[in-house]
Amino acid sequence: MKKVNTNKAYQLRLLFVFIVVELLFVVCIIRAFQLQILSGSDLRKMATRQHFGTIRLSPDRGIIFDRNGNQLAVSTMTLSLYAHPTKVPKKKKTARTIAKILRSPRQSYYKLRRIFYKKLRQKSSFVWLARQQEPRKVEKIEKLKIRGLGSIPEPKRFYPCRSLAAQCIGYCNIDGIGLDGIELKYNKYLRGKPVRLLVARDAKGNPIIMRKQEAFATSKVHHVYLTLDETIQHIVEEELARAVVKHRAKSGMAIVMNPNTGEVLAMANYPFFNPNRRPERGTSLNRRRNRTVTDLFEPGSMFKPFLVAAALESKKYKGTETIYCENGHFKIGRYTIHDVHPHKYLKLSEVIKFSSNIGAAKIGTHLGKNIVYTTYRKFGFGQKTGIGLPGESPGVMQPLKNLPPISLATMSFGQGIAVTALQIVTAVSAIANGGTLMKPYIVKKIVDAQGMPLLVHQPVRVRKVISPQTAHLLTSFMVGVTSEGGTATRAAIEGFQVAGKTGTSQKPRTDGKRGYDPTKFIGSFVGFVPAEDPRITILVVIDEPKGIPYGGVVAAPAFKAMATRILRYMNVAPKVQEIPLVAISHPFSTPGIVMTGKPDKAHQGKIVNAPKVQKTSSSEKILLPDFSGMSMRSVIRWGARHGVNLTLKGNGQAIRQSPKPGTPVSPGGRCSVWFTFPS
Amino acid sequence: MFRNSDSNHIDLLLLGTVLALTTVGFIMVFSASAVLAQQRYGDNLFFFKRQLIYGLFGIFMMFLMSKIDYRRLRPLAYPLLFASVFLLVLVYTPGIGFKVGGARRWIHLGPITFQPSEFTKLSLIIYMAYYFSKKKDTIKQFKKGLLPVLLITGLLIALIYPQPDFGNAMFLTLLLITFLFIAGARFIHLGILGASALPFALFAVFHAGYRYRRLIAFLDPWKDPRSTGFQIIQSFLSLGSGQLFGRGLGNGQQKLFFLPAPHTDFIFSVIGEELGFIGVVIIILLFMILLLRGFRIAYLAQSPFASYLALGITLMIGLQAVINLGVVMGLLPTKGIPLPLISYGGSCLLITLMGVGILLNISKRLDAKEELNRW
Repeated sequence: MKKVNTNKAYQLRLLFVFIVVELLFVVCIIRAFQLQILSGSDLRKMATRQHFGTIRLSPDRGIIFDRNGNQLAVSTMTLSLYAHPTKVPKKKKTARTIAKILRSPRQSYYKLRRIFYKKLRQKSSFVWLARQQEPRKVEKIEKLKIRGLGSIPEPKRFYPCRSLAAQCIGYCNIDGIGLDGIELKYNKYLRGKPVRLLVARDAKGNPIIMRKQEAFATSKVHHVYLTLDETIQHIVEEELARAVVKHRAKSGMAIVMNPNTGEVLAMANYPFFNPNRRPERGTSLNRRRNRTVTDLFEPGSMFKPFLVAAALESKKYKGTETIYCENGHFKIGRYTIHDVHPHKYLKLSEVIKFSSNIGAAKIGTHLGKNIVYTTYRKFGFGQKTGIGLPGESPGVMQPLKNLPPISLATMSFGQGIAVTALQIVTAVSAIANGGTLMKPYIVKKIVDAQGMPLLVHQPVRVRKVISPQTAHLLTSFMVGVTSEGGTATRAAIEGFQVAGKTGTSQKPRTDGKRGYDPTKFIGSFVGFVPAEDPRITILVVIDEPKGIPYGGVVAAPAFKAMATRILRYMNVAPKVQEIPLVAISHPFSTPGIVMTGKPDKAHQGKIVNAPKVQKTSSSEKILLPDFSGMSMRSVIRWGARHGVNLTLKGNGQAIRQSPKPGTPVSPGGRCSVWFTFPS
Repeated sequence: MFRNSDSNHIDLLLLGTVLALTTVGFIMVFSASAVLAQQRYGDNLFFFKRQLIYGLFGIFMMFLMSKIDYRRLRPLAYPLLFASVFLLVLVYTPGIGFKVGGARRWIHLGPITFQPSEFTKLSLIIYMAYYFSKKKDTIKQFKKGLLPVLLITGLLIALIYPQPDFGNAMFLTLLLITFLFIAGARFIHLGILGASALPFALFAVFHAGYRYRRLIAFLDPWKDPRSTGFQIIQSFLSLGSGQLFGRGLGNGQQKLFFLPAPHTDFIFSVIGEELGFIGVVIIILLFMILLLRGFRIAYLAQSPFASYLALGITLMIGLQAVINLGVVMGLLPTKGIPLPLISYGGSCLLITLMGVGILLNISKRLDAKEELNRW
């Protein structure tokens, strides 16, 4: 009996333990319900924040090339130094040691020491000490094996040509994200897979734990080829800078376009900026903006060809008419329009040649606002060109409704209307190519990491603006501008017919009062050459020149200098006589060797079969440029262009050269350049 | 008295449950460890392959054990006990025992590694089944009944504790107390035992600073999320992210370096994140079914030895599971205890499956007269 009792008691205890353990499981289910269902969304949010609470490293980025494959923007490998401040012993001494190694002309030892010491005293467990440093320096620090310090390789954007086309190419922030220009617009192509450092964050968002996450996937960067030509861009920037400095102007811009395709060959803004340098605090972003597409200005007389185009297309003018120009004073209502030089009667062509405001006003009034407006719009004014650069402005045209007669008159000679530089070049290119408005473009193609094209831009016709006859007639009028007696004889190039138009406009007052500032002008010149078979359209705009502000004086000579050098570079032969040889004064400025040969469209912009070479007199010496950072390709091209024999060692980017930059070298001379791949 | 013969079938529901849990284990070990394995060994199948090999071998051993009459284990009680003591000593022998993550728990046997503490669990259970079935009511006496088993278990705990393996030492203590209770030890003895164990527990907690911090972290993990509360908070975030349906198998984010030991002790957090509350409930229900069938076998077993053996094996799985779940869900302080049948760990999986094999063998010979047989 007792045995049974024991058995029963045993079974009861068994049952009891069973129920207790099963109940514990039930408790677990309840707890799971509480965690997953009741607080699930809160916890998921917290988890998400934690996952995004990572420290982002700059990702690899694709290369930006010019049309010939010269590198304009590349990614170089750098090392970023970090610290776990709580683990670093002897903070003062450590700060001193690191500062001594990392100091540079721009960042003094004392400044760095102060920064590092401050950072090392922080209570957090992760802090960047110095990002994107030269690998050589950081490796030196690593060798010291200081506890709590470490480094991570991180790509850094590097612009081998420094300020060249900088506003157009744009720049990146330290995390490798494009902030402006091509870098911004094509960020999603250029940008590789972002690499992250895992950082768990506490409730306050402070990083608490860090682990390095390997980049699993191979980075998928794409490379962008621009329509820009490094050499043409260089020529344009140099001449633009020269003009702005000479006329003590505030700034300047210039664009070179292939009028037949709409390709932008050069796009320059002066003053320049070097995207390799971090912007100093307080400097305005004005220097960094690509003003050729973002900023508006009144085009002034550069607009007269479009008005005459309207006149010819409307069939109200045949081109042979004469217009009475009121001897320099013409009243419309209570306003009076003046001409710089008074004229009595002017032919239609002479209204352009002498740039008569009164003539233009009369033509505009006669045509009526509808025709003028429609033509302007057909030329693309008042709309974005669609070039694909950030911040493009459509320009401003006054509303057509209730337009006062005086506004129609001033609009006829380009006042009371605001345009971008790019719009002017594009519109003038339409005249140059026989009447078709081309959509301007700056990206030639995008290729993947293997070089396979993903996207190739072809020339796009926007619309037929004027008939070929009108275009032809207009071109001949514009050739008059650079001919004897025209407003821009300084734009004339020996051996070529240059079609163009000057512009001189006033700037609106900035002191709050209505009207124009009597002291501030914009002098500009737009033209294309050779007039009979245009290869390039160039616009030069000089903002606020001191002294005589006329476009024919300040901008036309710059146009001439640019066009002369570009035509020679592009092997466009003059019609009348050989190109005169030009003395060399500055590296990169003028070729030491002149390429001659038949102009051939297929060879435009690149040297395919080395043409016959003529040497300049041996007394002409070239100053060696600083090759550092340039690609081997660029260096070879320079050598070929200047007839300098190069000895190339290594691979990658140039790091050292002999003789030093600035050393004069005669054609046929020697120079050694050393290359290496960064890190 | 009528006794069922060998012709009885093994418990198919138990077998199915165990196989289901083991399969879930394979899948979740792969999901939880792939990224880690890729990083550490350059092979995302590294842990999965090992788990699969041990698991398949374990299933083979399970069937083998289910064929061997459990009564043959009875005379093996002492030899197995000595073997485990010997193996535990080997852990401390230089050249044979080796460390992983600061803990000396493994020994090398040629190409394979083995964790003796897992083996100890099973041999202790066999010993206790033998002991308690032999002592019967003598257990109420302290000297003759209680002391020997206390000393033996104490010795094993003393060998396991300094590895350090606080989790398994605690687990053995808990197993002993449960056995004593079921065997009918006097409550006064249990009370005294508990009271005298308390200083040891307190010493253990305060002696190793991290245990104290873990305990504090358990009480309020958000107080210090930087270090001590980190593990448990990560587990919460993981489980909570799963919500009802989970992120989907393989889509867990937390296992990517946030969760500590995502494929071992905290694999249940990954399950919670990827399979959601639904998956969590299904897994817990599977364990509850396993527990039910195990206790049913213990209840219906023919002999006290069979009953104690079945009870011990069921508790080995059930208690470990409930402790692991409690830790993962922040109901218990953090302990290094794996989730049986699911967590990565060859020795544990092998021993557990062998235990299930014994359980299955016992299930063949149940007392058919009991009405509970209808369960």
